[in-house]
Amino acid sequence: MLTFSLTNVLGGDPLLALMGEEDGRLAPEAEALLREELGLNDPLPIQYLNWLFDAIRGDLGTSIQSGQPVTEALLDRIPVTFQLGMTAWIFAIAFAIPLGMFAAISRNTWKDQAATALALAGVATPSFWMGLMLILVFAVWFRLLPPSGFVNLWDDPIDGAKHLVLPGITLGVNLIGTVARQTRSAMLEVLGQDYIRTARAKGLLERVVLTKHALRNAMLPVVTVLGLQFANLLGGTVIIEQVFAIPGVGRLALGAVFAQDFPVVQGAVLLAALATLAGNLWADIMYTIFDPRIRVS
Amino acid sequence: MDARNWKSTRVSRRSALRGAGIGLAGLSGAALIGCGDSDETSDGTAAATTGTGGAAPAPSVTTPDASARTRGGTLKVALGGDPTGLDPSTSRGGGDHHYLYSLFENLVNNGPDFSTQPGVATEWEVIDDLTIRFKIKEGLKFHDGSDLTAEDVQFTIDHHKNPETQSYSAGQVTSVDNVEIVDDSNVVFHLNAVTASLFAILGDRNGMILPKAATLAAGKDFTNKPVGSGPFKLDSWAVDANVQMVKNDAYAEDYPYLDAIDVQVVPNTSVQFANLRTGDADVITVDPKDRAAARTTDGIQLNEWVSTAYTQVNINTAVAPINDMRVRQALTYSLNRQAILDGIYFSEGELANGPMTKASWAYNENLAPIPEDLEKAKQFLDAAGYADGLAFELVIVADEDRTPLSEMMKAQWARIGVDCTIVARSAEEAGAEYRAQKYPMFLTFFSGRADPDMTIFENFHTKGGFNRAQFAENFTPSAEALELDAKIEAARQVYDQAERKVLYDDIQVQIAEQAFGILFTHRTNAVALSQRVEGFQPYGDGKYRFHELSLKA
Repeated sequence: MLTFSLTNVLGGDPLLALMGEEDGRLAPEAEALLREELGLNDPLPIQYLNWLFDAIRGDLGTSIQSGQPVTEALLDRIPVTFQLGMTAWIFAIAFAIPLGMFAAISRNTWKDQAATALALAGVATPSFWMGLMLILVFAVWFRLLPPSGFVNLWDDPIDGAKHLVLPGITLGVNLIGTVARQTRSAMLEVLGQDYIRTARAKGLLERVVLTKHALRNAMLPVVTVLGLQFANLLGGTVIIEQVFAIPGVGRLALGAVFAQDFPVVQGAVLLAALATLAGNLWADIMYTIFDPRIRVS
Repeated sequence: MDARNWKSTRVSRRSALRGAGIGLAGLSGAALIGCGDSDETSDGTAAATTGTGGAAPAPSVTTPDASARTRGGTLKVALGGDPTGLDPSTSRGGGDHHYLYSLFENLVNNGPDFSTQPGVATEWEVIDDLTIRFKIKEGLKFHDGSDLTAEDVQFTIDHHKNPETQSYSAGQVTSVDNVEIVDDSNVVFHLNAVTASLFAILGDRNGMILPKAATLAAGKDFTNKPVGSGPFKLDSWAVDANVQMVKNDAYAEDYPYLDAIDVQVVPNTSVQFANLRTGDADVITVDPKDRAAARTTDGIQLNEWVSTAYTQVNINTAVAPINDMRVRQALTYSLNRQAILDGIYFSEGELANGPMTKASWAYNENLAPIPEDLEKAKQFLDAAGYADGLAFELVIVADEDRTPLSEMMKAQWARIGVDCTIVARSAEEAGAEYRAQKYPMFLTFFSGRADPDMTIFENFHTKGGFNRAQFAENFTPSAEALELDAKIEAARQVYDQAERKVLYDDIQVQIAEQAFGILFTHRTNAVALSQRVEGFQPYGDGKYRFHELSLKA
């Protein structure tokens, strides 16, 4: 409801966005017909209620710009953004957790500081710039990877993977910093616990102490962060999808905002809300796996 | 648990997307991608020839004759957006034409300099001012195998005129009363008013022949699954991702040359350029900001040519102080157009002398741009009674071009004691308020039209669509305005292009001398092609005809 009111308050006539300024206008009768069709003449509360009842039934309306059903448009694009998001996630986890562990173990040495600095650099880098730089180096200069575009992994695994590398890294880099630092803090906290000292006293190999005991317990806060970060990842896709020409949800949402395509904007916001909830749910579920003290009753 | 608030860094970064920092960073990345690695200059400008029409411009890419052209291959294009729709009547984007011209055939075609060329109609006869007969080529077929006959031509016009269709170009064919079917291969257009621009209009959306049966059957879905008779068929269209067109084998024996056209949507212009450099794209459009870099990039063909678009301030001659011709003249003479061209458009384009650019046969080559003359400007202002200064408001729709442009104008006018207040509004507010006579001027763009009548009537006739003075209560056009009206109406009554040119030359002289428009620059188009592409011809309307191209082996 908030989104609905906000987008309408901000004003802007979607039909005018449709028609542009000086190029091409509909004859008045035709414009009236179109407004009626799109329900733009109804009072605001009626428009909202219509949307709500339709949404519950899975009908999110039709895009003013393209005439495509919003649900269909979103469903077309969710797998795309999902593949991108997963790549970024996996990339981030694969780098961030070892990096964080390394920083924790070498705590307060120059190695720790270097690792932390690296993690922070990831957070601080503007993704727009990073994306363009990666394209320049890996696609244009060295011709190792394609500069942009998207191929589904299930259509062509190798080509698909090639297209996911650069955008995945760009999207994941920001995440690495957060997760690495989270891992470091969590590890440090855990490593100071009594049971770690016990494990070491028992004569266990350091490697076993770190992975089986320390890391497992440190995973709780890290896992929570990962789940909560999911929504932010979705936000990052807006920029990445624009730069790398990936036809995902982020780009759909961006285009819809500029064109004042209300149904699409609302659908995208709904999706983002659902994704956030999913991320939180995921974090909760992970908790039960990693912490035997918490079980779903 | 670490209590550091990682969320805040995320949000601020996203909101900085529009900030200068990101912009600068992005620009540096963009500049690097655009930079060439050689000091060889790519090919330069192709200017469309002017004159009485018929002569094609000398293209900058040598066009080998048909027998020497290589057949086969897939042309890869990277454009900033996909079509708004592929139904000529209901789609509305200027970029749709890049596809429509390959999928559909026009009754007659607009050549590169807008001269009329045969199309579906092989010959035509102007029987009298209101009656034109067209002879249709025999044996033409639509993509679904059905025959193209006179009935389809009649249907096409009727379809546009039908309010239920909601055609955006219905207004262009209001003067066509009906299309009479003489026989399968002949139609007669019956007009209710002389329409010299009819041929140009038929070379655009209204003349793209639609199959009657398939269009009616498809209804609203036609825009996603178009059926035309053009040299290419639509193979697939993934919205906002790519469009694939394949050769229509039934079109002609040895044409088109390409097997397929693959258009990828790449929103970011720097990434488009990267695609060109890696060979993932054969054709891209070049933004003014990237043109300097493009000219020094090795291994590409750059084509630049003047378009029909020009920049102007739309004036309302019913609102003070603009109703006084001397004020308009003062404002015109006090502008430094070269500074505007250099500062706002990266020096891409030319100074405007009149509304017709070199892309049109109606360009007046004898007219020079109005020079900057502050003394003269002050004299005009004094004569109008504003020796002590003048103040008024200028309404604009703020964007990255118009905001700095309006500020430049304001600064330039300040030199003669004019205080211009810039009022920024949304597009709809600006339009509505301007129409309600709230402001004397509106800074807006005009993309240009295929026929001079469409440009000049709409902008400068008292009844033209963009001339808001007519909506003022008790509006009385000045004697000069009426004189201009009469000239514009006379130019519409003549079908012969040479005769019309003389009339339009005179009209543009009057527009310039009496400052009926305050014009700045003529815009240019630019396209960058890979070395493999052959056969490119720059068209005055700036739209691409992919089906004319071929790829060298």
